[in-house]
Amino acid sequence: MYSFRGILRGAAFCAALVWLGGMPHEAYAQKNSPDIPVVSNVVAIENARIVQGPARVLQSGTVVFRDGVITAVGRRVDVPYDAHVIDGDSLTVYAGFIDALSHTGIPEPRNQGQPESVPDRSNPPFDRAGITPEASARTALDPDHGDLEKLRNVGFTTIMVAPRGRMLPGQATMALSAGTNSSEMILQGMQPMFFQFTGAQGVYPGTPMAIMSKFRQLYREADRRMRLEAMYAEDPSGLARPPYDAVHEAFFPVVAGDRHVLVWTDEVLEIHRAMTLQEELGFSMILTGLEGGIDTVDKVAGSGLPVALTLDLPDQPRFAAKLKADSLQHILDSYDDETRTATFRDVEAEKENLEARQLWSRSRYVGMAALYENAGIPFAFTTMGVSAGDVHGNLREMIEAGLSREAALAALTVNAAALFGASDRMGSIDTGKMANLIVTDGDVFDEDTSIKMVFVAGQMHEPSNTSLGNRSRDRAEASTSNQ
Amino acid sequence: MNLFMTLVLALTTFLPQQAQQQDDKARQGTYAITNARIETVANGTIENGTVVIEGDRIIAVGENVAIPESARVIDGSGLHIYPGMIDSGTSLGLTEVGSVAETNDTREIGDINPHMDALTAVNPNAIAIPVTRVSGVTTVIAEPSGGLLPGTAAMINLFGYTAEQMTAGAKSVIVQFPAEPSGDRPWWAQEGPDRRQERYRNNMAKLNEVFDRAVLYNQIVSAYEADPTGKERPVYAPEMDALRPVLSGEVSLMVKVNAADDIVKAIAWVQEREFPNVVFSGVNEGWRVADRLAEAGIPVLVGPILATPTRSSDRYDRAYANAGLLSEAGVSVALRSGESENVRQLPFNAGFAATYGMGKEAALRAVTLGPAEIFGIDADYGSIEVGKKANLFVSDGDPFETSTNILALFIDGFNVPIDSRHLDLYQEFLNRDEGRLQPVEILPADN
Repeated sequence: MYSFRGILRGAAFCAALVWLGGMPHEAYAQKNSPDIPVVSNVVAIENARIVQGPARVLQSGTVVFRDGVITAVGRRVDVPYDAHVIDGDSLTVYAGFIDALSHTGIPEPRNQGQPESVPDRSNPPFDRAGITPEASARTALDPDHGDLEKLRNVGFTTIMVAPRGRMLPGQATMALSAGTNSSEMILQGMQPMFFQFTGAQGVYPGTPMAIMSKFRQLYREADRRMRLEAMYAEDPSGLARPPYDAVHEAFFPVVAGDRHVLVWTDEVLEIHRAMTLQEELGFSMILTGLEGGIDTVDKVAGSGLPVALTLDLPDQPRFAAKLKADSLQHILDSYDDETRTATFRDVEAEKENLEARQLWSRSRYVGMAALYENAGIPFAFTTMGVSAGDVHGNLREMIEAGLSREAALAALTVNAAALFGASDRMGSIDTGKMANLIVTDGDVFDEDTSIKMVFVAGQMHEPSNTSLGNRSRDRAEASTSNQ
Repeated sequence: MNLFMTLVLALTTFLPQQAQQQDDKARQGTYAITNARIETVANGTIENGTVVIEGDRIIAVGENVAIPESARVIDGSGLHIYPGMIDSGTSLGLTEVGSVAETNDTREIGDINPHMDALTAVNPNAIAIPVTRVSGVTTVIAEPSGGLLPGTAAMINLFGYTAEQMTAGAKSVIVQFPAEPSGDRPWWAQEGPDRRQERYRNNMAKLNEVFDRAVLYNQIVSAYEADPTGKERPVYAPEMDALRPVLSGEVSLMVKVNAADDIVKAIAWVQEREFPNVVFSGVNEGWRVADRLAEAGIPVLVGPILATPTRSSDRYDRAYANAGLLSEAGVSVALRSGESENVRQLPFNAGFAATYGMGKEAALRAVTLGPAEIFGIDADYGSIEVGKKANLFVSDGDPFETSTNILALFIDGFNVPIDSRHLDLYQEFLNRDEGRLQPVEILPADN
């Protein structure tokens, strides 16, 4: 007994099978799909405005790159016969931006529930204490992570990627912002040890003081163990075997001066703490973040430490959101720093002055990069904690507050390359360097400019949403996705 | 049911006559088929004429033709001679048993396989090939499927020991033109319209990128070939290499497209890209945009004809009438069955097209000289003319009629025996004889 409906259902099932069978090949088809064969490894961008580096501009020139390396750049350049020629008329080419530190491409740990309890909270195992300096961003990098594309679309081609975690999450690595697998993305070179003042949950070290002590302890233990190991290696006869663990071993190159410590600081006290540790122990340090480092300019300048400033800015006060720039400036100008006298007789005036103080306080953060520039400190930028969509808006604010465009570009390119000892490979548009390039239709720091193409190691990527202007929608999306 | 019964009857009635004519081997030689009604297709009908075949060619056609002494004469009195039929779209030779994966070679993994040449995959010994010849089909296009660029289709003759011997000289690179999803969700779809739209757009973008790169590749390789001195060797991309003859027009581009909107888009697409040699295949809803196709001058390979209408609002006969309406609008039409083991039904596809508006003459042309012209092999194939390849058959009536028997068939001048697995089985079991010394009673299976 077969009902008509039953037959129909059977037919539907068969149709579904056929349909499913046809699915996988179509599902991910798109323009930049890796299954479209590459027909030329040579690209020539002709007649473009080429910003080779800060204050090094070719008004009309051609840049040629083959197999991901720039082979020629100049006013008159022979274009190879096998080049994919891009007409650069009305386009500007910049060196790709380098992000001096972020977690971009490292997946967030999945289980963020209550951490397990340990028998002795004052002496937890290393991984529970957030101390895994032997780990590496190289093994954790996910080439399909969506943040990579977002950061690439705003111009970043290289990132110093640090693993996620607490006090000592592991070693950071330089990586390209695009690649079909992590091997394609990871760059040779410096792998600094990432260190931050983030305490362990419910166990030692949880406080800044504990973190500093723990760092000193690990450093000095490693120093001693290195010497023990050297003795043992020379003549083990009669000696107890030196203890081994991966954490201390990861410190050996730091102690030997072969590995930098990349420190993240997000408030002024952390800057002092990091510099104290460095002075005490004498390791090579790269200081990053420095949010609120307005008053440490002289100290940083005196230390000669390499620095990377955060691209993050405090949010605008709520009342300021609807106001225009000139009226904000008007309020800011009216600020009177004499706030000690109670002005209860005129509550409105006090409120206005406090609002002006909010703006003033924020403007100090906005103007910090300019302070560092004026103090003659070469710095890079880090996007740690900044959503990609905010990067250009924040840069524009910093430039308005006095940062020069050259210094901003230097921070995003040559300075960052120098920071990581990669100046011979990246940071500017010169023959022999990696073909990490941004192609825009205007000055990259202008609001109405769009990024048309991003070349990562010579591979073209075309951002789908190219405008660097208002990213409020992006921000809204980012905030909902973070919840 | 009726059609099937008629087929069975047709087989049973013509078998006895066949038995004597059978030869073990297909042989070339000198043949003269005399006193037959010859449908030349190219030059009308010769009511009582002779065709002389020598080697692989037709050397004489006409009413008063001298028959060479060495010729083996086949008396064609009361019989008809037709050019061998060409099916413009099949998977014959690429598939053996649909449900056995190992025997199916129509689909390569991936989206972009224009360099996959169907000819290399054709199995000359496929069971379905002799089954097809029995209907008078001598030549077919074997086409791969799946993905955006499934591969290169090959025109093959249905006789030969190797695929290379079978080639009829024409190839065509297939593009599966992305079909734009309609707004509403079909009852089987798990995905919403947005997702399907996105996939459609991605596919279109990918297709365009493939041809953008192909153009660049062609430019680079041509420049290198013209003068390699001092130049770096270009990248070798087999996929792109296969598209070079498409860009030059040496090989046609077969665009598979069915829905009316998609046909219009495909016309715009091939015009914008200025492909010199394009045919459309499938074209189920071609009748809706027939004038557009005619205006664009794009030949179409229509079919299957024996199909249901594409929309529930259509008249029952739209699929049958499609080819006729296109032909009437001035489009150059060839027919395809889209079949594998049922390519033998090509004449009945043509019969339906003829009945539903196309007319016998045009339908015959659409399975003979029409496709030969579309694929540029009309110097050798498609009609009964002196100098052409001897691809023809002798029948006792109109081959579009199911009751007609094909009595002799020539491919490349080989007199191919009318034999197939179907007939072998029929004969075997018509007179069961196990060859025993003492015949035994044949018991029912459930004893």
